[in-house]
Order: sequence, then C-alpha cells, then structure tokens
Amino acid sequence: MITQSDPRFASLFRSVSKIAGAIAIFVGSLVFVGWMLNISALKSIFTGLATMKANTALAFILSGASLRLLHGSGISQRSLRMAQILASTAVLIGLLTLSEYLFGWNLGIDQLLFKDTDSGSSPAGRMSFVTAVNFIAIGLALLLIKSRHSFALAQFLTLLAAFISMIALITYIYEVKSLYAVSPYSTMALHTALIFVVLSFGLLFARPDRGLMAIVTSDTAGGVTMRRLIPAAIGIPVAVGYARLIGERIGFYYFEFGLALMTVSSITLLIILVWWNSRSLYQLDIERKGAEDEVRKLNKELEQRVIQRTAQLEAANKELEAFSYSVSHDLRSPLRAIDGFSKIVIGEYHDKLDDEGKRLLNVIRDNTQKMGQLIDDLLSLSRFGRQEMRLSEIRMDELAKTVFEELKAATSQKNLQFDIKTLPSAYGDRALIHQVFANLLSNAVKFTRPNKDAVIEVGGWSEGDESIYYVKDNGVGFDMQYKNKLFGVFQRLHSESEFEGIGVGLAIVHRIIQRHRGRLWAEGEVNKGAAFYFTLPIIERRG
Amino acid sequence: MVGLNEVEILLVEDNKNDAELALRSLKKHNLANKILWVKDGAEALDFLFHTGAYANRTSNNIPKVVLLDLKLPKVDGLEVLRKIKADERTKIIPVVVLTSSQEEQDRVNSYKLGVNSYIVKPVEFEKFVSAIEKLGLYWLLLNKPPQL
Repeated sequence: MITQSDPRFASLFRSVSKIAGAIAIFVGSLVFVGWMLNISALKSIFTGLATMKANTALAFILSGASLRLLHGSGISQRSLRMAQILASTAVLIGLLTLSEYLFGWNLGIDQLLFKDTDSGSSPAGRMSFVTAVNFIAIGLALLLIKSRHSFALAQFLTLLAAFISMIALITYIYEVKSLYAVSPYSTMALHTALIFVVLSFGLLFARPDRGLMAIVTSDTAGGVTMRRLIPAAIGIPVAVGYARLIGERIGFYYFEFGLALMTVSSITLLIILVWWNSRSLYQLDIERKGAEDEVRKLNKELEQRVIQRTAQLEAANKELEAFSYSVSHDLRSPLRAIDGFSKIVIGEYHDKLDDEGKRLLNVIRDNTQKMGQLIDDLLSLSRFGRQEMRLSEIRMDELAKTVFEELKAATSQKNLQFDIKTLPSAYGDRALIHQVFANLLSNAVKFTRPNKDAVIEVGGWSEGDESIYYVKDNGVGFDMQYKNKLFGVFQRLHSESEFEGIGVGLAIVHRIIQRHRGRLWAEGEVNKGAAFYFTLPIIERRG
Repeated sequence: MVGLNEVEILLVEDNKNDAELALRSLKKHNLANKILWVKDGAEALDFLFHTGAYANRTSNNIPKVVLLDLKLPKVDGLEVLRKIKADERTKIIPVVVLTSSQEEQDRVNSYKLGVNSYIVKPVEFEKFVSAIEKLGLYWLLLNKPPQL
C-alpha cells in the first residue's frame, strides 16, 4: 500500500509521542518522591484508592526514557543501545512480578525500594497482575519498534497494553470502587492506568509514517476519516456509557432501559458522525472529480494543440522539401546551359574570339561551376539535416581510418602523417558520422598543405555519459576570436585564393553532431594548428 | 527529323537547352541521327503507345533506349516510367533516367519502378558531354537487347 504521510501530522504525532514519554517520566518521578516522603496524594491521588507502586513508577520512568531516546531520525547507536537496556529492564520488572503471581513465590522485589505499609493490597508493594503484563507488552514494543520486520508485532503489543489499561481507566471513570472487585486489576492505580494509556499513544505515535498510523497521518480521504472517527470512536461510547450510569444512579431509569438508551444514543451519535464525515468526503470527492475533469479537458486540448502543431510542422517540412527539390532540379539546368553554351562558343567560335573574349567566357564558366558546387553543398546540408537516421554501433577508429585512406588516395600531398589513437565506439548513423570525419579530415589535409611535415591526429575518450572525439592538425590554424564563426553556413576564415571551399563543410558537421545530440567546438592558434572536438552521447543499449 | 520507324533513342526532355546539349554531344559520335526528342511525358507516351499525334504510326519499332527526365510538364517522368514498365509491349525497353535531381526519394522510386539506370546530369559541361556520350555508346552499341 502506498500512502503519503502528511508531514504536518507526522511531526505533530511525533511531538505528542515525545510529550507522552516526558509525562511518563514526570509522573513516575512524582510517585517516586511520594514514596520517599510518604505523600499519599502522590501515591494514590485520592485517599483510599490503590497506590501506584514504587516498581511501577520506576518502570514508567524507564519506559518513558526509552521512548524519548528512540526519537529522532538519525539516532546514534549508543542512544539505541541505551533505549534497549531501559526497555529490557522494564520488561524484566514485569516478568519477575508476573512470575511471583504465577508461581506464588516472593522474590523480594516488591518492597525492594520502599516499605509498603498503607496499601491494602496483598502482597504488600506488589504491582497488579495486569500492570506487570502491560510492562512486558510496552517494554517489548519499545524493543521492537525500530525493527523492520517485527514492527507489526510492536504495534500489536502497544494496542494490547492500550486495551488493558483503557479498561482500568474507564472503570475508574465510571465507578471508582468497582475495580476492587476485579481481582487482576485490583491494585492498579488511577494514574497507572492513565500513564499506560498515555504511553500506548506515545508508542503508536512514535512512528507515524509506518504500519497502522501511516493511513492515519496520510493526506488521503482515508486519513481524514481516520483522524475524525477514531477520537469519536473512543470518546462517544465512554461519554454515552457515563451518561447512562449517571442516569441510572440518579434513578431516572432502570438497567434495561438504560442499556436501550445507551445503545440508541450510540447509534444516533455514530450515524451523525459518519454522516458529517461522509458529507465532507463527498464534497471533497466532487471537487476532485471536477479537478480531474478539468485536467482531462486540458489534456485533450493539449493533445489537440500538439496534433495541430505537428501538422503545421509537417506542412512546413514538406514545403521545405519541395523547395529544396525544386532548387535541386530547377537551379541546376540553367547553370548547365550557361556552362555548356559558353563552352560551345569557346570551341566552335575559337578563331573569331580574341584572347580576352576567351578569358571572359572562361570566367563565366568558372563561376557557373562554383555556383553548381554551391547548390550541391547547400542541398547536402539540407539533406543531412532531414534524412532519417539509421542508428547502429560504429567502430570509430576503423571509420576514421577508412575516411583517411579515401582522402589520401584523392590528394596529391605526400608528406601526411596520420596518427590515430584508440577511439571509444559510438552509437549513431554511420553515413552521417562518416561525413563528419570526411569533412574534418579533409579540412585538416587542406589546411596543412603549406606544412613541410603535416601531422593529423585523431583521438578520443569517454567521460561521464558521452564520448569525446577530436581531429587535430598542425596546419595554419585560426584565431580563437573567430571561433563562433567557424560553424556558420558560408563562413570562411581564409580567402579562396589561399584555400578553396565555400564554407559549408563545418556547418554540415555541426548539423550532424546536433542531430546526434552531441556538442562541437574548436580550439586553434594561428600557424600552430587547429583541433576540432565533438561529443556523442553514450546510449545504453538494451539486451 | 528522324523517321518514326527508325527511332533508336527517345529523348524525353522539356528543357530545350539541355536537349540541345544532349543532341550535340550525341551528334559528335554519330549517334544523333536516330534520336527523337519529345518535350513532355504525354508526348512520350503517345509515341510509345501509338496514341494521339502518333496514332498513325504503324510499325512496331521500339527504341533501344529511352532517356527520361523526371520533372516534365503534363505527365511527369516517374509516371511515364511506371506506364512503360507496366505494359507488356514496352516493359522491355531500357529506360535511363537523366535528371538534375539528386533526391534520394527520386532514385529509390525510379528503381522501385524498374528503371535500368539513373544518371544525375552534371552541371559541368565536359562531364555532361562525357556522360551523354557514354550513355549513347553503351545502350546503342554495347548493350544487346532481346530480338523481337
């Protein structure tokens, strides 16, 4: 069962429990003083009633102290041990006294502390049978209350003690003298019964978040019901019974009528109570249902909005695709015509053109070709951003090596030294990551071209939930103040006469890494080299 | 104009510049004399299925290759391809898509419809010329279609 304990009630209950412990210690001590100074008001409250015995007072002090020691979430091992010793002593007192009753012997413990001269109990100074039983129950409950497995038993023992002492207490309320007639109770003092009740509640409230109390302190309808009905369930029968007794004594009615009156009053009061409680629960429930409906409605609206937005996004995406499709198709044809017909003019009208005319036509051709390259690169940028990712495990060092071999075959540079470290494997789209390496490595090759000895290094490591990879070269590098411009489309840090290119390569890398939910950054220094870092998240694969 | 019964290459191309460049390239290798150039998908289908303007074409001559652009007026290239490959009479004709489109979806769709080859027209003239030449030589001279 999952119940959420309301922290306000939980802490209130804990305070009550601590106070209960303090009351037990306080009353126990008072009675002790009473025995020391022979003050009968402290021993029995009203003259003629049974006295609280010295051993009882001692056991109350022990139990109260133990209960207080057990409080606090992070109690020390020493306090716990101390609390257990105190509780065990209380159990021992109960057990020894019980054995005296059961076996008829006298262990000499009853008047060990003080001589009992004025009580009518026999044997003198001995606590009553039920008091002994109760100390065993309370003491054991104190020993078990912190344990995980026997907590239910601790609660049972607590309730047992509460049950036994309530009988004594209520009997005192109804009829002071009648206790003498019930032999096991015969010598239980009024304050003994009261302190037992107090201690039982103290024990129940000590751990408000567990067992039976978890529901009582919960912020659920069940918790509300419990908190309202339990005090009434205790109070109403006691009060109604008392009223009946008074009526009978005064002579308003006889026993049978009194019983009938008591029964009907109990029924009426309980029904009123249940009705009152149910009405508020009913209102709570209606409010809750209203709130649920509201939530459901909001959810539906939200869903609707998500659907709408998704449709809009899809439409925008489609439009974008259609756009790039027509760019791909329509922009290239005129370029081909310009290039083709220029070439035809150069070829077929060769003798009619002077050198300048030929040069100009070639300028036209150069530019159309560049434009073609531009369109291709732009389209591939958009394609890398759109195309569906096919994720798989990638051996990154193998992939880097493959890409480098491809590049090496295509370049005329001879002085390339390629240094590849061990790379952690990654999880991603192989074709896209291939493109990342292709762009980074071809940049590295390009920008080390002026070097006598070009060194390109690829490495990586895993850190936390991501793997970091880098491609480092000792080429022309870049000025760190331009590092924000590196990954923009058509951003270039070198003139075209130095290094060819149109500034799309790193933008593509950026987009691909973004799609893998990774990060990309660069470090560089002019004429010292550049290093490009990218991360890929480490994804837990199931199975 | 080539005789309708001797057409070896059917060029379906709406862009007259591209068509001219293609014809010029083929001409250099004497492959241009048996080429028919139609400007949209509907006309291509009319020719192949003897309908419309070509209803009177009597011979059963079929071209050795169809060079097909994808983006065409009236009936687009993929539709033309689908019709060619769906008909018993024409499904054996090799169809080469010759297009500016680099779109993956066009490539996939063309292959799904049974295209025999897919060529992206290069922007650069030399590359374009060389691609057309290779195409012509391959399909007209090297490739051996079944005899009907």
